[in-house]
Amino acid sequence: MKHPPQDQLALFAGGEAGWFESWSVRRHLVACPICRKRAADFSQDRQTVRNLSVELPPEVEWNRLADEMAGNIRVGLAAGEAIAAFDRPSDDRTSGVAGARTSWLRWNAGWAIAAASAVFAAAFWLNLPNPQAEHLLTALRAIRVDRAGKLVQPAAPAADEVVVEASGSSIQVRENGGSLALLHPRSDGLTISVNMQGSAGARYIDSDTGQVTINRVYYAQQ
Amino acid sequence: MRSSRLLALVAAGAASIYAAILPKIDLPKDSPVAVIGADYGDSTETARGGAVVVDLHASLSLRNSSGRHIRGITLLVRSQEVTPGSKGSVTLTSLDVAPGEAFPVRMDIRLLRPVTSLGGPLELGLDGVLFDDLSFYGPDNLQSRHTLTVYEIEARRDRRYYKALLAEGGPARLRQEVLASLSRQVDRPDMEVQMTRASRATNLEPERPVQFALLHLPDSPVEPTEGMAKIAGNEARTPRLEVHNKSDRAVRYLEIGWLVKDGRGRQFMAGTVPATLNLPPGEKAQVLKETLKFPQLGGGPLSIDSMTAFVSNVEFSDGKMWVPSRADLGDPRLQSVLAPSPEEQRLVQLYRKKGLTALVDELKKF
Amino acid sequence: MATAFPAQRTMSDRGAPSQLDAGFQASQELQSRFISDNLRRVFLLIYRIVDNVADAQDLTQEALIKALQHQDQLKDPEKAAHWLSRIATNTAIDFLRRNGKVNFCEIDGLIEPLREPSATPEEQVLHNEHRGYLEEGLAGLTERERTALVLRDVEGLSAEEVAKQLNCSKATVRSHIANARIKFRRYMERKARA
Repeated sequence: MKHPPQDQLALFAGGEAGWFESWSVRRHLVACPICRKRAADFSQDRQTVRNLSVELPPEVEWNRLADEMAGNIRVGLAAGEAIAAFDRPSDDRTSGVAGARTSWLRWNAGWAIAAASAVFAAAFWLNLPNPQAEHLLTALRAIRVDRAGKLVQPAAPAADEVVVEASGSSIQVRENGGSLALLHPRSDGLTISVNMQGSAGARYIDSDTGQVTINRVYYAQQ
Repeated sequence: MRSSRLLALVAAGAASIYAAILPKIDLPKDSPVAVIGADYGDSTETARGGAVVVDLHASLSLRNSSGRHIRGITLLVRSQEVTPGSKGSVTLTSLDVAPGEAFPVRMDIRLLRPVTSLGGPLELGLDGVLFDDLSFYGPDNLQSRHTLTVYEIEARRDRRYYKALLAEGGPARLRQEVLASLSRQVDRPDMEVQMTRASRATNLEPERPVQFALLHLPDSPVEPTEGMAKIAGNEARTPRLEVHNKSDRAVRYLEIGWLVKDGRGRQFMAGTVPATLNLPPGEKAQVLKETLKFPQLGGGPLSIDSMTAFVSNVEFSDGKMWVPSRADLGDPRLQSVLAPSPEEQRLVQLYRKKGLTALVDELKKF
Repeated sequence: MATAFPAQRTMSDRGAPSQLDAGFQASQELQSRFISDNLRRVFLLIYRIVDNVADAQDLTQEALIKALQHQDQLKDPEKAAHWLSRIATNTAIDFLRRNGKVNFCEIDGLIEPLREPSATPEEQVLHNEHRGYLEEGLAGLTERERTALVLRDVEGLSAEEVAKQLNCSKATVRSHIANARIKFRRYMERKARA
């Protein structure tokens, strides 16, 4: 018995086979349990793909991601409106107040465009990509922009020299072969600050509580 | 001082592991905050090579046991065994905790100690609490009174500013300003920073004398008048900076902010330097003593090309403080490099997460 | 699910500045609801096509912004969900065309083995621990095959509609779909034997 090719069975299972192909396969299936099972497997796979496609990838923290996306969309729409106002000719030429407001809008929208455009130049220049800034920038510009630049590994000073380090995930102080680090979650708007008499801080907004949190480490002066 | 050891874990099997790494929480008897709950659920202690790593994930619940609203708090974090002289702190600011109300504090701490060290508990203490009337409680070993007060004054300034925008230009005007702030935050990339001990000579670059550029903020009661240093790599040696008290009150403390331009033309806010002094009205004084060692940035060693000094905040002898006004902050040299205040950051984030209505409602609360 | 679109509101509609007016507030709330009602569905659809979380995030944002900015193009509000899905898939497909330089009208051979991710043994172990078998099964398809399969079997588009979306012939689309199903079936059989 000649079996139909696999692709015919696969298309038959999904209803994409032409009428003659379908008729031919249907006739064969009546007499062939092997191909019947095969077609049923293809059918089942379709359902499997459908069922499992509503599940999130395991590495995704949905609430956090959704919050971030919703925020970026809101910002992107608002920025788009500012730019649209910039493009729209002013209807009111009589009121000085409206004229002043329009010219403020023009300045601000133009600045927003320039600022958005400058981000990747700055990121490339400093070789320090900020994944969250990029997602926000994408929303601001509403187009897909490729990442610019790669993280350059900083030249490592001698291990016994460095006492305080601040990075995107933690700030730490080292002493006597030990270290104390305060970790911060990946969050938007992380701000690193330095007091040159011996401390560094990392400020962020806790995404669960909305609280402003500042972690700081202090090194002992010799 | 009363000390208490809190065990917040459910599983008896886990208790034996966590007993070794649970922190010791020291709060004074008359502390305005009390710990009412603590969870260290994901905390671990693991050996890695020649070291032991303790990962402490603490979710504390504190209650305001005073009769006033709390605006800020700084907790001290210390491990005498691991880093005897060094310490950390966790500050929450822009709070509004009413008497009797509870609030969460989350800390994620990693201790790394050599296996040969004895190890010992992490200590959590209270450095200070700021109330809504700007009074302060605490030992203030980390200058948290000054810091929390500056944050609160900045917060009030920024809330007034946003409310004024809302009143003058409606929600659209408020939203545009928030977007502008957000753009500035996005524009300012995260920095990776390394600092080394000031006392060690780490670079042998030749010195060259550099006159400081000075940024005058019109409203500032103190202004820098002249300054210079010998620059070598990332160090400003034998620095001299003179300041003039233009106000009619004596000044006891101020912070100088430094904008640095490096050899690659990058301009950024490098840090601040505090100065404790007793400066009568109308008088001048020198405020720098030691070599300024600027932090290294991710990407390589820093080579200073030029430095600009400005007065970041001032504390008068009567305890009142001055911070730059919004007009001062509009200076383009500052706007592109200075981080927003914590309150501005919080309000902008509120807008991002919950929208304009939520932001307007929040502003109405104050 | 039919979701009401927020009424479009422009700067010049605002009138005299005063407290947040009820109309603007309602518009903002509708916008927020539209986003929250559709965000997960759009994200998953785009993710299944581009197979990358970070890209899916950016493209989801882009698609929803586009939809809300061009809502005047939607004639029948009852078809909002379907219209939004088209925007989302177009956004993802355009991305693959531009960045992955994918030509949806070329047909992949079936003889080539399922692609294994190039990773260290340690990364592969981690990969297998964390990804479900659907992820692995779909990751083994080419972009063309995966896109065609998602549009047909997940979105329920007919083969003609998929061809229109990918801008290629129905015969090509049928080949993509058939290849995708065969490769996925092979993967499922290998999983069953393991």
